[in-house]
Amino acid sequence: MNLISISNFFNYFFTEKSANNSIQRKVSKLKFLNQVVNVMLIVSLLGLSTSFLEPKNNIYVTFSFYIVIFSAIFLFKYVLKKSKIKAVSWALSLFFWFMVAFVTFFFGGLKGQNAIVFSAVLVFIGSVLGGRVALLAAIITIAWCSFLVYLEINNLLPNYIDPGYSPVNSWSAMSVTFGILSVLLYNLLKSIATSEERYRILFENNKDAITTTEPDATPNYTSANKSALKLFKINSEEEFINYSPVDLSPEFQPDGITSEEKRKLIAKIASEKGSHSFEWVHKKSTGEEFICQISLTFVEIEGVKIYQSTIQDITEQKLIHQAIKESEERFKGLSEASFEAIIIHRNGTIINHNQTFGKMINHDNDILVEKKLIDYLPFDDISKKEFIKHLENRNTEPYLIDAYRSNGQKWIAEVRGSYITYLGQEARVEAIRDVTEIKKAELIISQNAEILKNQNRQLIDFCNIVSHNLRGPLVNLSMLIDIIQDSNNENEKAMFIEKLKPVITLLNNTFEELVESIQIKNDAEVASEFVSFEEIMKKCLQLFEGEIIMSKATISCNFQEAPNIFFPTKYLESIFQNLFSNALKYKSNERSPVIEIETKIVAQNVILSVKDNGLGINLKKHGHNLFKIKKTFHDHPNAKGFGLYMTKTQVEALGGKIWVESEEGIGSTFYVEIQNHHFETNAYHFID
Amino acid sequence: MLKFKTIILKRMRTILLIDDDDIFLMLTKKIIENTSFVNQIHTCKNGKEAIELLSENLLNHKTLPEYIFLDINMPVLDGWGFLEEFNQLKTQYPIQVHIYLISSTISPYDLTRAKENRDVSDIFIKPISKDLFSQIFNKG
Repeated sequence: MNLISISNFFNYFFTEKSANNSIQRKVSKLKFLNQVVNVMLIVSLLGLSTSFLEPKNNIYVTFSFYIVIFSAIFLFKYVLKKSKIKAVSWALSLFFWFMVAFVTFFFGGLKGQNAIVFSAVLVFIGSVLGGRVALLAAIITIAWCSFLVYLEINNLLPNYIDPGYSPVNSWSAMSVTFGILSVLLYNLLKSIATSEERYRILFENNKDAITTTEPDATPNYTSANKSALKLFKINSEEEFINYSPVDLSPEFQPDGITSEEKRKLIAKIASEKGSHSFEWVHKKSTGEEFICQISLTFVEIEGVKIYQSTIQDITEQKLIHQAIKESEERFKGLSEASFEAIIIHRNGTIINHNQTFGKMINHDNDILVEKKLIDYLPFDDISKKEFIKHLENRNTEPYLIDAYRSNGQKWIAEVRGSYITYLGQEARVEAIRDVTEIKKAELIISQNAEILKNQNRQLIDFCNIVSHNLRGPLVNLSMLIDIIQDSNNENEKAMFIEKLKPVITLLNNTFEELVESIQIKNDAEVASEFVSFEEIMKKCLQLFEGEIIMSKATISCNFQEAPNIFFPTKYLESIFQNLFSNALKYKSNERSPVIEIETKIVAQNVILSVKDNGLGINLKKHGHNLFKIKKTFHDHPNAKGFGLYMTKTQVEALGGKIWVESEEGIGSTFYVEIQNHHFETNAYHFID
Repeated sequence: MLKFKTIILKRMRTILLIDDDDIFLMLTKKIIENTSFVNQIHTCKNGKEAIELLSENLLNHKTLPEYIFLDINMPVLDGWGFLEEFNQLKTQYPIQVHIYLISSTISPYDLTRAKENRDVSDIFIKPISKDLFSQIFNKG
C-alpha cells in the first residue's frame, strides 16, 4: 500500500457526510462490498487448494471449515443483491471476527503480523460500512488480535492448540492472498475516488442547474451546482441550502395553486413514477421570477428519500413560443375573418385551409388535411378541368370560374393562385372569392354606360336636328323679315311675304316629328302585345295602295316561320311603314320594284327583313350616317332623312337591332331583330 | 385719280353659294346682290353639284368663283365631302379661292373641324347679314 491509497483511505474514512453525494456513496459501497466478497471467494479457493499440500491436515476439519466459509460467501452475495448494505457489513465484520477466533482457537493462532493485517481489513470494512458501531467492533478486533499476539509471544497459548496444524497456515498462500487484497483495495479506493470526482465535476459543470432535496430531513435544498447558483443568483452552496424550493418560488404558480401545495403534489407524482417533468415558476434571490422546466428524479436509498431536480430556464423559449403562438393566432384570425376561402395545398393535396373554405363547401367543422383538393372544390367537371389546367400552367393571375352551391345554384368564383414556401417546401395557395354580386353590378354598370353612350349619341343627333331642321327655317324667317323691312318695292314685299308660309309649315312639321321621336324615347316601356305580322302588313298595303299601283311594285310576304311577335303594335306598324315606304321611294328608274318581306327565328329572336331592288346605298360612304337624322343619300325630292332614325329609335327602345345590307344600283335589305320575349328589363343593343 | 379709284372699288366678283335650302339660297343671293360687290352668283343644291360645276368650268377664268359659301349639312355630298373632293381639284384651280363655311350648326365638333381645315377661311353661323358680306368682300 502506498501513500496515495492511504491518504484516499483516510479521506474516505473521514469524509463528511454531505448530502449531495449520498446516493453516489451508497452505490460505491455496494460495489465495494461486492468486490470484498469476490476477494474472499478467491482467497478461500486458494486456501482450500493449498490446504491439501499440508500433510498434517485433517481432511474433515478442512472441509467443514471451507464449507462454512463458502456458505457465508454465497449468503453475502445473495444479501448484496438485495442492496442490504448495513446487514452485509455487519455480517462481514462478524464473520471476520469469527474467523480470527476460530483460527486462533482451533488451529493454533495466527502469527502476529497476519493478525494485524486482518485487523486492518476489518477496521477498513467497518469504517466504510458500519459507522461508529462497526468502528467499535473493529477496535475490539484489534484488541483481541493484540491479546492473541501477546499470548503467542509469551507462549501462554494452551498446549492443545497446535500451531503447526491449520487450514490457513500456509504462509506463502496467505502472503499472496493479502498481496492481492491490498492491490484490489488500492484500485477500489482509486476508482471510488475517481468516479466520485468525475461525478462531482459533471455535477458542478452541468449547464443545467441541478439541486437535490431530502424532504424527510429538511425542507431546504441539500445541494446545488454552479449553474443552479448562477440561475438563482446566489453566491455559494452554503447560502443556497438555507433556502427551500418554496422560498425560491412566488406564492402562487400560474395555475393558481400555491407553490407549497403544488410542490407536495409534484413530489408525490415523482415518488410514484420515479421521475416527473413539469413547468414551474421560480424566483431568483433578487425577486425576479422566471419560468423553468424541471425534471425531478426520485430515489429512495435505505429509506432516505432524495429528489434531484434538473432546472432549465425556459423563460426565453417560453416568450418565443408565446410570440410564435400569438403571430399564429393573429394570422389564423386574419385568415378566418377573410371573405376569401384560402387553401394551402401541395400538388393538389390539402395542407391547410381556413374556415371560409369549410363554409363554402358545407364542411363547417372539418379540416380537410391530406385530402385531395379537387374532390372538395365546389366545381362541376368542366370547372374542375379548367382549374387543373391553371394548376398545370402554374397560373398566378386571377381567373373567373363557374361554381355551384350544394343546391345546384350557380355562382361566379374568382380564383387566384400563388406560391409560398410552407415548412421549407413550395406550396400553392388558392384564394377563392364569390364575385357573383360584383359581376352582376359590373354588368349593370356596363349596361348603364351603354345606355348613357346611346343617350349621348341621341343628344348629339338632337343637336343636329335643332341646328339644322329648326334653326334653318328660323334663319330663313329672320332673313325674310329683314328683306321685307328693307325693301321699298311693294311687289317685292308681297313676293317675300308669300315665301314666309312654306317656311313656317316646314318648321311646324319638323317640330311635330321631333315631338314624336321624343315620345318614343319616353315610351320605352310601352305595353307589348301579341301582334300578327300579316295584319300589320295588310294595314301597310292599304296605306300605300296608290303608290304600289302607280309603281307596279311586286310584293311578296313570308311570315310562316314567325307569324307573331310580342311587341307594341304602334311601333311595329311604324317600323313596317317606314321600311316599306323607303323601299318604294328609292326605287330604281330602270325597273319596277320587287319587295320581299320575311320573318325568321334566329336564336329565339325574330328577324324581320325587307328586301328591295331599288337604288341601293353606298355603305362605304354613308354607312356610318345611315340611321342618323336628316341624312339622305339620294338627291330625291321626298328624302327627308327622318324615317330610318325613327325606326332605329323604336327598335332600340325595345332592345332590338337594325342593320342594312346594300349594293348601289342593285338594292337594299333592311333587317330588324326583335327580342321575342316578355320584357322584364330593358336590354340595349346598338349599331355603331 | 378719281376715276381710277372707282374702278378698283367696283371690281366685280364671282361667287358660289352651296346650300340645300332653296329659300336660304334665294335670300342670300338677294342680300349679296344688294352689296353691289358681286356681278355673278352661282348656286348649287349640294356638294356634288358644286364639284361638277367647278370641274366643267376649270378653264373658264371669268366664271370660276373667287368666293365659295358652303353649307355643312346637305344630302348626297355634304360640306366636308365637298372640301375633300375640292382638295384634289385645287392644284388645277387657276385663281385664288376663299371658302367660307356657312351653317346653322351648333356642334362644337364642326367648329373645331372648320378651324383645323386649311382650305376654310372662316366659319359663320346663320343668319348672315349684309354687313358681314361687305366685310368679307372688302378684305379681299
